[in-house]
Amino acid sequence: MPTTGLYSQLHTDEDYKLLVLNSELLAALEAGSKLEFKASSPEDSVVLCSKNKTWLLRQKNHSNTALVMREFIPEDVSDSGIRLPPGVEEPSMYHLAYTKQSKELEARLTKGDIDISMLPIYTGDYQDFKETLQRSNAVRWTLKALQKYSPCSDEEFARKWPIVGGCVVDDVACILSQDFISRVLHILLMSCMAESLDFEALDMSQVFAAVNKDMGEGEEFNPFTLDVVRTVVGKFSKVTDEGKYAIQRKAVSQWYGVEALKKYASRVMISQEEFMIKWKSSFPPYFTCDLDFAALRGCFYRPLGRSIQYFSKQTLPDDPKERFAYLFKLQSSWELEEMIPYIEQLNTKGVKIDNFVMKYARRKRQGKRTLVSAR
Amino acid sequence: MPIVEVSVSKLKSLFDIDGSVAVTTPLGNTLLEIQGELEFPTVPPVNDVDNKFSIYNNKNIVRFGLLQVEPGSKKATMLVGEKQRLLGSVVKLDSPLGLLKFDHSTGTVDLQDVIRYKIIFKDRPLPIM
Repeated sequence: MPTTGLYSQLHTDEDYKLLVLNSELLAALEAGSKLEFKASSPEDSVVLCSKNKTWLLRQKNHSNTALVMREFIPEDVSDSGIRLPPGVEEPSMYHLAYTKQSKELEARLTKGDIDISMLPIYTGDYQDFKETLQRSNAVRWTLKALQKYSPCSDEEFARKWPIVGGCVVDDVACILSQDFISRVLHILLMSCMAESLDFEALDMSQVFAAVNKDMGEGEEFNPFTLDVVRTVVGKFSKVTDEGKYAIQRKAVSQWYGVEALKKYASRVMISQEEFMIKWKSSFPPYFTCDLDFAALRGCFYRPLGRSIQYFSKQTLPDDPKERFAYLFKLQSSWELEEMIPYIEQLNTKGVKIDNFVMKYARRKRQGKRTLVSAR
Repeated sequence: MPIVEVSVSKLKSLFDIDGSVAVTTPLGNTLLEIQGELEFPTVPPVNDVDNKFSIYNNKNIVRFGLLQVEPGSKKATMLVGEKQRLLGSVVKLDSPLGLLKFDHSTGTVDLQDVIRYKIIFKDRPLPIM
């Protein structure tokens, strides 16, 4: 049986790490996709990104000694004078351990993220935007730099950027304000209808031209730049195979619904029937879409059981116990479906939501409905 | 916001798996795992009677054992020093391991190899008879 002489460096190299190549990572490598380690800041978790996927990295420690060795020829093999046990052949090859590993990096598929918290907000007032930028010491990112440093793969970034309302003004990456998005969307829908553009296959340049048709060439500042129009179209549409944009009426309807809730049901509650009329009347004339009240779950509660009032989940406490207590203070009994949007992010272990709720509240079946109340 | 691209330029051919069991990768790397710790001195001792310590590429190295892998089978034996014998096996990894080299001076990471098998010694050492 051939024998291999084993050697090790006294000081093994610590610049090496072992990464578990799961099937997705292996597939990405086989496809020749470039892989990048990224972190939003030196303190943040490190992610690994391919062209279209993002993995969160976790370091798994073990107590074994794992030696990575390579073949070599010792310089003084002739006079090493190895005393061999009986029956063992003289080594015919030699391996040198050059790195010792007590941990492995494991990659778990995650969703790419864009940190928009430090980006300036653009309300459509260019002068104000410029002055605010000059006054504040906020970091100004170009879109390219933001994409490069976001813990997010390139394809996920391109998809998410318009959805979060990301835009570029004066080469600075910024976020469009909710009011401005509403304004642009309204004008955009009306302009497209006036020009009889096909909502299922919009062409960006045609939409831009339609929006700007009535703006004139005067000296007055026009906030509807191509970047702004591109963001709003991107936010409310899907790209077709032909590279056109298909407006997602469901997303438009939901946006108008949330805006209507903020406008009409922010300070006082309103009956659901009355709200539906207000919601319907908020769309541009002749724009048709279905009103799905269920799409607004997570933006309202029912203080007295039936009528609704706007409520933003951003204001809820992060602690699960506190959050449930807060929700039951707002409303003593919730329909499970209406409660889910407020609590699903707490379910970090991915437990079935019915069971998750039972940890903090009482669950009761009433016909087809599931009601959740405090213990 | 740190960012590092993983270079895989050297590895294109490694993704073509030919199905054969090879403890040593085509790039010459072998992974050997021992349950427990293998401890070496940090500097060579003055009195190295067995000539275990030597120098390779200006680095101090130590001879710590002998390895035998039975051809065609998955059994491996490692002899550590003159008294201990470990019985182990060649196992296929559930997921291959990528060997990454971090170069801090240039800020680059190089995927240097893909390891699909390892030699593992799980049991307590036996005496050499």
